[in-house]
Amino acid sequence: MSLRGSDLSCSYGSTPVLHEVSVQLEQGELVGILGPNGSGKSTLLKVLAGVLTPASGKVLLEERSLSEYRRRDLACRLAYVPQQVELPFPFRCNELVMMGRYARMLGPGLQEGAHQEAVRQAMRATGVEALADRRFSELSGGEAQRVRIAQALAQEGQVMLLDEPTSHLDVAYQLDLMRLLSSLAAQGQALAVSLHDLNLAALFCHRLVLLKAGRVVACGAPAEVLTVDRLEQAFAVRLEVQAGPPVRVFAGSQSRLGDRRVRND
Amino acid sequence: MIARLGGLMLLGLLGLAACLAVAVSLGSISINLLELDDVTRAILLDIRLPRALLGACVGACLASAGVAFQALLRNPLADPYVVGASSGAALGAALAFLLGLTSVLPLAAFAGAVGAMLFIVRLARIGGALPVDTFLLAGVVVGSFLWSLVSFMLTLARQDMARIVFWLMGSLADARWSQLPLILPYLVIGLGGLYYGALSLNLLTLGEEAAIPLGLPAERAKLWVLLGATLLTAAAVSVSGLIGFLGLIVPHLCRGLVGPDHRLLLPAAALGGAMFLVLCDTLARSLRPGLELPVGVITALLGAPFFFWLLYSRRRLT
Amino acid sequence: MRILSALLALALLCSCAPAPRATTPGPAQRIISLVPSLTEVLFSLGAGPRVIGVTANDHYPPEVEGLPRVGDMAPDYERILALQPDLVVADPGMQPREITRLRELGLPVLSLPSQSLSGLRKALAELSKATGTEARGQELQGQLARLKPPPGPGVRVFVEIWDKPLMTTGGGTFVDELITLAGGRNVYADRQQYPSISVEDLLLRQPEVIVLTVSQVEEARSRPGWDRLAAVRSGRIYRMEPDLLVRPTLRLPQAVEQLGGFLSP
Repeated sequence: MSLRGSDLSCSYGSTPVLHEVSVQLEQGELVGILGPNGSGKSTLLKVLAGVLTPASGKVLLEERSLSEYRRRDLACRLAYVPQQVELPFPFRCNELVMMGRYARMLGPGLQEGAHQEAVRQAMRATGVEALADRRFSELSGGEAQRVRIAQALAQEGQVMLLDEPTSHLDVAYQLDLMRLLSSLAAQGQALAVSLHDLNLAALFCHRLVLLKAGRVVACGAPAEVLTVDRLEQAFAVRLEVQAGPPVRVFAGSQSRLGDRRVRND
Repeated sequence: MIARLGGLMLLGLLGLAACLAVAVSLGSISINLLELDDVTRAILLDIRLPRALLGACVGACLASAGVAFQALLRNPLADPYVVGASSGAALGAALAFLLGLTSVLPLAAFAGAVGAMLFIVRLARIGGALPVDTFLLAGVVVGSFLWSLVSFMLTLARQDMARIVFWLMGSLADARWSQLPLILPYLVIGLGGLYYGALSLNLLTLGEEAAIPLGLPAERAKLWVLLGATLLTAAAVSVSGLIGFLGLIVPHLCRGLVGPDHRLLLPAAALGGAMFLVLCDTLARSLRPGLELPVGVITALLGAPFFFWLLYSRRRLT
Repeated sequence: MRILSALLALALLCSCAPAPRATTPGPAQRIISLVPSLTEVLFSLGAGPRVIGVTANDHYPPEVEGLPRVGDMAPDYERILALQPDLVVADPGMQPREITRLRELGLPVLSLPSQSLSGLRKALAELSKATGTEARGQELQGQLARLKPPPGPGVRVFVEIWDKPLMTTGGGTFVDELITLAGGRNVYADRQQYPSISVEDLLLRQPEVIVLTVSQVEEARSRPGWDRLAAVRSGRIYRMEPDLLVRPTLRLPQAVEQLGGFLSP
């Protein structure tokens, strides 16, 4: 199972957001997507998930273009967890995870029996079994992220794309979540995750893609990507890097913000 | 799920049967149900029973349409009239009154409601997509425009004004057996269709960005939901005028009782709406014997305080 | 839904049974009037004691006060049915849908378009036939026939039907006919039905006499612009009981006399 995006370009109106980006995602791999705000991380994930159609370029899942899949078939192979979800209605966690089974259910899906086991398994895998009957809106940030990952797992695909799953989480929850993701990778999932925390990325990801203004600055193992020059190129700030493994990045006394144009999107 | 649904349906149908029984036994005159003669039998069977059944159908239509609109717009404050159906129907009805075509009043109201909705969808569609916010905005703007046309027509038709206004307030006074075939097919098809897509309704409430990757063809789903909800609303409006608040409060009450899963919520709201309207209409007919109140006044009298409570409790939550 | 359809089927079967008919040959004995002006006509014919139900808007003659009320805008069908009338009188101009419904319920409905002088004559004829009061009917027809507009061009008069918004009568209505019979000339005879008008337009038309219905003379005098009306300045502004003015009944000679009094200098 592999997901490959080649020469992806995308724009909102006349503003280009992605420019000929190519990425590849293999089974058992946890890929981190890094870059400053507005560099196109979220857009890249949406394009890879098939939520957004690229202006040019192609996304291939198992050598077939995403546009050739029916939505349901795609959902059985690939899951996407958006940055945040707002629930206007008080769904319970098990109901929410059950929605991950939508693509495999028919009509109103009254025969749930076959799916309950998958839901239980997904919740066990993410450690949220105890929350089954709690309302999603009552959960803490970390719990909510786990439930949403359980929903994605319930889709039983082999590819999972997550948009900034660690934002708004405290450091303990961030570590906890990254451990969960890398254990999913160990079980054979192909995961791509956009991150802000460079150290977290260095610690857990097998490969990194560094974006700036919709273009790939660097791509490869953490030690190749997280260099002082490349980080400065992407973030316009000179950071200190300590060779690993794992590589460690920190802001030293010499760090200062260079000429940096902030993009709006 | 099947067991819960079965239990819910059993309970709901029993409740509805009880409400129908109450509606048939109460009215502006008191009838001894044990000693029926020709006249009292005619009152029960030709006046009260068709009216109660029509009320049940209208209530079911409005409440299930309310559920659908709330899911589609992801807004618990949406109701069947939020996007133009009411103003369209009012315009159709006012035209029928103005042109003296009262015999085609239901048809005119139905056409007005569906026409307004189609126009709004057409306006709000951007390159094959129907963004919910644009849709809501277009609905509100077109709705205001159509209402101003209705007001304009009211000033033209002063002698018909009272009748048009009475119709706008919503009433089942016109109920008769021949109206049931006007609404039943839409109830069956609309509610059945929405129920078949109950899981899609669940997903729509997550928002499109989350729903599409779960396998929902969102644009197609939105159009189907809109079609079903519009048919339900238009059918209800065509036989009863604008009965307000029911489509807002019944979905809420039922969500509190059975939860937000549309597989239970839709049938619960349909049955709850049926019961609520049958009881409200019984009040409307019996409160002032010989002078009936428009049932829309009763539902609003009960509904408005509820609405404020809802706003209040939401504000407290956030 | 199953119970509903069962009920529906049952009810359809029951409703196929013959509906109650109380039609008896000969004059109507149990009459319900859904139009206040026709109630008055019935009483004028001497059929008053046989009237068993009227609308909530009936106040004349005083005998109606004790009668059962069977609706206002919407008829109360079950009360009507329960009263077992052998004649229901209604006006197709005001109650087209209601008449259809009453007939469906098997009630003998006399549909009388009565909101004009000719309608009143026709209603008088029909009702005297239906109630067996032909002799009295002839007598009343004679009274109406004796009413003739006095010679001359007629005094220019404005009749206010409603105050907010300002409404009057156009040509061809019953009120317009009444004005003519009383020796007046409606300044708005060129308009139709009951139009809303502006004070400016009224000032241009300068009626010689103003007749109010729902408002009081003192209040009307003090309205902005009204002091510029010749009729107000000369004190020729009067008030008439609205029912007497707008309802086509056999109080017409009385109405003509009162209005004629206002019009004569």
